[in-house]
Amino acid sequence: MKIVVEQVSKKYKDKVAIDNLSFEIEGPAIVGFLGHNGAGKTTLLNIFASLISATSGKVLINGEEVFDNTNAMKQICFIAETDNFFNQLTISQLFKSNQLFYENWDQEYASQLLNRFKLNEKLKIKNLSKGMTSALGIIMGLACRTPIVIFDEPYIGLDAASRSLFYDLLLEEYTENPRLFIMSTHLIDEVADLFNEVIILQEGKLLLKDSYMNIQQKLFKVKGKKQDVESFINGKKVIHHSSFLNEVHALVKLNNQEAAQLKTHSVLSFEPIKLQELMILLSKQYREEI
Amino acid sequence: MSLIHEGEKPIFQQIRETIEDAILDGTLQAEDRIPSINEFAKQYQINPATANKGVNELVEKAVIYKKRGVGMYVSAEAKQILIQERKERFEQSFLLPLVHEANRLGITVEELQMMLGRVSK
Repeated sequence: MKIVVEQVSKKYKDKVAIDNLSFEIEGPAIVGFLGHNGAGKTTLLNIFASLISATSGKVLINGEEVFDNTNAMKQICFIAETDNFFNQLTISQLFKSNQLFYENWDQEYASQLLNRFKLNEKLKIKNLSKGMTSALGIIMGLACRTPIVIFDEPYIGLDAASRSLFYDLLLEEYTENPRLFIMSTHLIDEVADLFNEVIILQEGKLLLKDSYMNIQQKLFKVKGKKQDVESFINGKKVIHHSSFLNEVHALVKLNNQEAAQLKTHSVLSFEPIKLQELMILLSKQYREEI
Repeated sequence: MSLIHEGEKPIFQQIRETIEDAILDGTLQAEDRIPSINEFAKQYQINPATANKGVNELVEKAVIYKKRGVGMYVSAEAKQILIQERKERFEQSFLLPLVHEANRLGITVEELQMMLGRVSK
């Protein structure tokens, strides 16, 4: 389960949506795919799923170029934010067509999931509420059993209880049938602990790609009196720096050695940074640099 | 066991400390089986790799040992190892901040000793 992105760009008339991106994603993993609106997330995910073509560069799925390649497409289940299904179908009709396309579609599991989300298979898709439609997308992504599943903002209209059910099911499925799940979301801190890899895009470029473990172990918010903070961060990589009254806050990225030496400190406080705040600070730093 | 998700520590560290605390207060005894990585992941809605990191740090310290294909168990020396480790950290983690705050408030060592006598009754 490997996606290789090689110098991919996507240009629209007057806008560069994806700007010469190169990176690799390897599964099994749950990957958080983050960025502000307009960062290029959906565009890139659409290219992964072969729904649109890149202007230049290529995307390889397990070594095969994805565009116009049915074999590669069958390895990916892409659930978009909306408009995933033909409106006129009933849920059971949709499941029948899924069975034809996805070789490993698990009908029994899909029926169980319908029960969990309290959906009736006789319902027509056009009559479903927003939340129900999102639930149906989630069910499809889990039951398709493809090596790669992409959820692009999967939960419009889903309430907190249903989202929590989704996280439980996703973990269960990931443990029992390990594969590559890629998820874009704006509810970052709610799902952050599910990730083992994080990718952040900004203006079509890669702002960050790292393991969640690394982020938790190496990025810290340091708080304390000015002179104490300054002497600690001296020589270290500082991503963000601010002060209020006599207190200075600094976001530092420690290297392996510095992280290993980090102990409780009597005059400084250390906190791991939340993913959402990290994204905001990185993007601020990015904008200041250009 | 419940974790404060908004906590000031990385989640893997919270998992590790939850197990440590359970061993220290006797909830988990020597040779007790601890939940599997997947059970931890599910319970706290976290990636299994994150749960694994927390548990593995305890395996490295010989607080927990693995029986292949069976599960993970609390070692006979677990409590002793943890007490020793926490004692070593006690000064740094508890006393220094205490003295720091006391200094800031102008509390003398004598006053501190009196307070300590009062609260430990």
